[in-house]
Amino acid sequence: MTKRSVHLTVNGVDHNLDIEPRVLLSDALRHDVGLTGTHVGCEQGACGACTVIVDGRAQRSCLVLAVQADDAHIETIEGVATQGLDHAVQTSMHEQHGLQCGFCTPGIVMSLVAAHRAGVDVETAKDTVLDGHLCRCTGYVNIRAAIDAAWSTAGGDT
Amino acid sequence: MKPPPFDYADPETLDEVLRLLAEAGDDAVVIAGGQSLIPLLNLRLARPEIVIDPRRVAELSSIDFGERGLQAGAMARAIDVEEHPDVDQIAGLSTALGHIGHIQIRARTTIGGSVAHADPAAELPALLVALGGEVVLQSAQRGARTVAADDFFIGPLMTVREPDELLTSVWFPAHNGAVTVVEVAKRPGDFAMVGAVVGYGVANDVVVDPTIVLFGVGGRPVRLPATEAILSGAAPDQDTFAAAKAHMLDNVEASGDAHASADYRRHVAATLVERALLELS
Amino acid sequence: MNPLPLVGQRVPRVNDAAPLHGTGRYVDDIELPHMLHAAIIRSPVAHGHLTGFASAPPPGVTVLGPDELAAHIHGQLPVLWTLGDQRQHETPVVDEHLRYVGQPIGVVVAQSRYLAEDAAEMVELTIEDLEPVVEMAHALEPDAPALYPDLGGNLLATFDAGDTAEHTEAVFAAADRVIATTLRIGRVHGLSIEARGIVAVPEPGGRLHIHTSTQTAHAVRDAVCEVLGFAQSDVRVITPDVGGGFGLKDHLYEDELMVAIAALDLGQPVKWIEDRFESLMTTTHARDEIHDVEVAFDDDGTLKGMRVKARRNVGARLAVFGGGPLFTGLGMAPGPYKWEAVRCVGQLVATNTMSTGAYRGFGQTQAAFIRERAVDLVAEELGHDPVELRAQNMIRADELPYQMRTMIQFDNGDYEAALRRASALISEAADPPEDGRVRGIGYCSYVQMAGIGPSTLNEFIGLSIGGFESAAVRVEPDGSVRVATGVSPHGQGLETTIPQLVADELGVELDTIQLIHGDTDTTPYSAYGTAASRSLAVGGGATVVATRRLAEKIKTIAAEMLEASPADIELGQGQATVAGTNIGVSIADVARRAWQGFRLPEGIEPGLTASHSYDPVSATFSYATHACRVAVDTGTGEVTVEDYVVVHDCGTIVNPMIVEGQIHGGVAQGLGAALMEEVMYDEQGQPQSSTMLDYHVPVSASLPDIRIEHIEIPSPYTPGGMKGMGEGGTNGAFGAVVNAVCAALPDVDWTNVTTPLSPQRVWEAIHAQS
Repeated sequence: MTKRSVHLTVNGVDHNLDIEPRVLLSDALRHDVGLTGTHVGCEQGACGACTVIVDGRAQRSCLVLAVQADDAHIETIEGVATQGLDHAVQTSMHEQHGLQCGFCTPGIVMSLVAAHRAGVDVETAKDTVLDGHLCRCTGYVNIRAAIDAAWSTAGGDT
Repeated sequence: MKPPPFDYADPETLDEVLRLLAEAGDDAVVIAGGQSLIPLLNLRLARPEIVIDPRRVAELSSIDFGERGLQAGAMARAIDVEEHPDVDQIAGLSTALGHIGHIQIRARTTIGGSVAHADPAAELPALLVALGGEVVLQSAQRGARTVAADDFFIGPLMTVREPDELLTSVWFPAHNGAVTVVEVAKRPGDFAMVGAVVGYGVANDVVVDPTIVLFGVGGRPVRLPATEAILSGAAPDQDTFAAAKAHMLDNVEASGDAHASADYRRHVAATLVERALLELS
Repeated sequence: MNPLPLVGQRVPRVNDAAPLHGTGRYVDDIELPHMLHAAIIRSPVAHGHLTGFASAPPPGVTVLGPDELAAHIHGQLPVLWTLGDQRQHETPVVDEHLRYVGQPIGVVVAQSRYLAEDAAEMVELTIEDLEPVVEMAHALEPDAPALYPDLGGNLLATFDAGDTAEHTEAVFAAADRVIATTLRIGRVHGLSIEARGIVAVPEPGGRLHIHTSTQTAHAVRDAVCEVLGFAQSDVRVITPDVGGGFGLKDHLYEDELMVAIAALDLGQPVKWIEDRFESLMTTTHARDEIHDVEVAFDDDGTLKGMRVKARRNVGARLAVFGGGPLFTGLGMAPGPYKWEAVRCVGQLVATNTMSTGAYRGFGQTQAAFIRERAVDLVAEELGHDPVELRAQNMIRADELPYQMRTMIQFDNGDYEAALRRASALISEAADPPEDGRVRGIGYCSYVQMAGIGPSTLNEFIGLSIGGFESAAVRVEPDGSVRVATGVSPHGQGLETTIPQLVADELGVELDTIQLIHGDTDTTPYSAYGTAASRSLAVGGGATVVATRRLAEKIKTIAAEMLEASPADIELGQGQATVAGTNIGVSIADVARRAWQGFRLPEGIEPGLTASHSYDPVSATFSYATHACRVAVDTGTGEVTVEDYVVVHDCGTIVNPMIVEGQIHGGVAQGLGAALMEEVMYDEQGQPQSSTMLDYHVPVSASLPDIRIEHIEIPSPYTPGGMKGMGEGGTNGAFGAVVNAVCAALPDVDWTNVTTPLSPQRVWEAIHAQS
């Protein structure tokens, strides 16, 4: 019940929040930090829309209490493109029409960006990583095509 | 929904964790990865007064692969074990871990959390029972005790852990022979409707050290000693495995619920076990 | 030299940047000064009378119970479709008679959602329990608990379509054989990844602004005004980015109205975001139908007659389109085949469950399924090849236009070409491995009614909304183009495809065109928004007509400027040019002149706008054959869809990439309903599917890549030739997947089928044989 101070580094920027321990990281990012690109679809960890990168690993922000992420380095969808340059995943998702309503998209991009950086191979990205996400619009076909494209562009290895 | 209000403590030492736990007892929950607890909080099905978070207690995250087995600190993350270069030293562990939720969930799921939560459809508790593993429980008042896995699990989400005890480490013994984990779930990553941990070794052309543990069929992992007895000392061939399956069809008890009927679970468990036995041969 | 027309090209979408960079603006992203947050108080029981509502909220929290809410309510929520002897035409916003778990009772407003939920838990409800009724069979028993005692029973409507009973009986009697099948179609949930949400903002001067995740801003405004007694000019509904609709967001819900009332009461903006738990309980469910189907046929495979008796579980109250899904399905049941008689009778049954309403397919998914299942049974009975049986009975291209026994007249197309091609493609699938699983191929051929209209037909069939769409196109003084439309994209890419149409008509660059949508202040009235596969067929049609008028006006003014004849002016690359010369003016120059009003030709008004309300002469009829191969693990009942093909025709394709995306998503939803999606209740009417771990929608591993071929026979009606196809994927996939499972297990008795074909159902069907 007593508020706690929580220090989050989000997309390289420090934030000091004073929040209740029960506040979910997804809500802290959206409403206290003010980055609404991370979306909330279920608050059960089932849909993946809220996925962000915490200390290098893709995780469900709806299943993390913000206080648990004290001093963590968090990356959200807003921080993926660097200096105006899109990540290969963002470019490919656009070119392959891997999004329709866009609501599940930020979570998928974060999972794929984390996987891409970690050198996960393309087949694992298309099953193990992508199976952690629900999309109701695309039927996944074009998202898999986007993964193929992103992994095969220069800099996307394995 | 949003969680109900609670206090939160993230002490830096194990002693402090245990002291808080002793003080709060039933009013506390321990949060490890949070991947099972937070969904309950988010439905307001869990309503603790205080959430105790051992994440700052570094020694609880240790991962020690040795010749005899894996000693995992309770807070060791599933993904860290899964990606550990030595993970294959524990037969079946990598497969079991790969079935847990999705990779994004495993980035926070802990070994201890999964075992302590004791979901009847979970893979790690079943693997632990199959391997004859152990857990260490510690309390401020009574110190540490070791409990055999088979004695640890009582029923759905119920274990012998006292409210003032913290599960501090899990011991996965190395198994003589190969182990696999098979399950039927509605989609990859879903809770298993029925699953089995199956393993055995072969010595002098016969089966030794068979282990068969079902999960998702009842309130806790179910070891099948009578079925194991059919395998022990028998040739690792189709006839033996068919006999094991037939025995299971006649004897395994399963429960039914909205997700699967008792009959389905019983039959499919037997089918899965037979297939796993063949796969390992 | 003219560049390629944009229509027909795989133009990348213009609105992807926002979701890909997290700069989209969905309803929960809206933050306003002094905004408060709501939680909804809901019925914990499926059936009861609310006799007490007590709350003592802490400071900073407001609770509005039924009495406080009732003070603001002047009308009820409409049911926009009346069918047969239907007895319910509107539904209350607040009712002390509780009829389903989750029914909204009151609203709590606080500084945060967390605090609002804390306060909601403190509200005390006194409920007198009534016996609930959950199954249709029970609901139809004479002594069943009555949801609407004044309406005399739980049967809310009976209606029919097609031939008379006498004629149908005669055809059946004359036929060689009859097969019968009972098909139980499980209840599903559209499950858009973004649930519902609303921000209600009281504005100065007694106005009300509403931001809501909706498919249909104008219909929302209509409902707000009807219920709360506002003048329509005092209410503005603004649609933010919407994370999926699928029919679920086709109306304003009771809880959203309660939030609006709270905002008015408090004089501050109030936001309510539906969470997933609520959504699975109280956002419109779908289907939940039982169809008794009989088909009469001759020994040579000629289909003669079809009889369908269908019941739909409509839940606690009729949804906004009432029995529309069942009626539409029954009307379309004949499909692409010739029949001598088709008679369908439909019934709507109320139970203590959530309402079932519009969901992708709108009944046509069920129609395709029941018919194609029956056709497969006929083929099996005769030992005929299922493809040949279909081809033999299909309406031929040269027989179109063709009027079905249910009065609906199909336009044009080549149904057999799609069937043959799909059959060829599925047989090209790679040989499966020898892995102990059994395999089968299933087909589903269907025709989909899309682009519903004309308005007179709507009225004739009992709808209280017309069938037109409107567009207002404006070329700004700098030559850029603004298209205001009544349709409302929520993933379909209309922000790209409508401008593609406009770009080709005006000869301008795509990025000079902006689509204005979703705001009742700035868009023409539309009763639908985007739904019913009609956005391009009807909304696009309106846009094309308006734009062509504008093109004529541009040519006329340009001709004046160039001292040429309008007939000699061509538009392209942003220029108006005299044909065969380099002499021209830019569209921007023409626009500037038009908005200056200087020296305009005789009879030409200043400005450069055109609008059109397009009331189509007919609905349009896209069609397809889906074919898929499944593998079944007979030991576990698990079904894997290994290969999937679609050969379809939706008329002129504006953007093949987007059309394919729509097909992929539709196939996924059809497949999900066929194999894994099921909303369940227990006998007390308590929801059993309350999280996304209980309600299973497909993941990537559930779907193979989908091979699609396009046939493009333009609609004879739509300006631009589009037919509409957004729902087609679902319509074909449900039947194709079920038929494939049945084909994979020929020894199983598939006389009757219950969906979804979950592993347990498949396994039980297999083991019933042994």
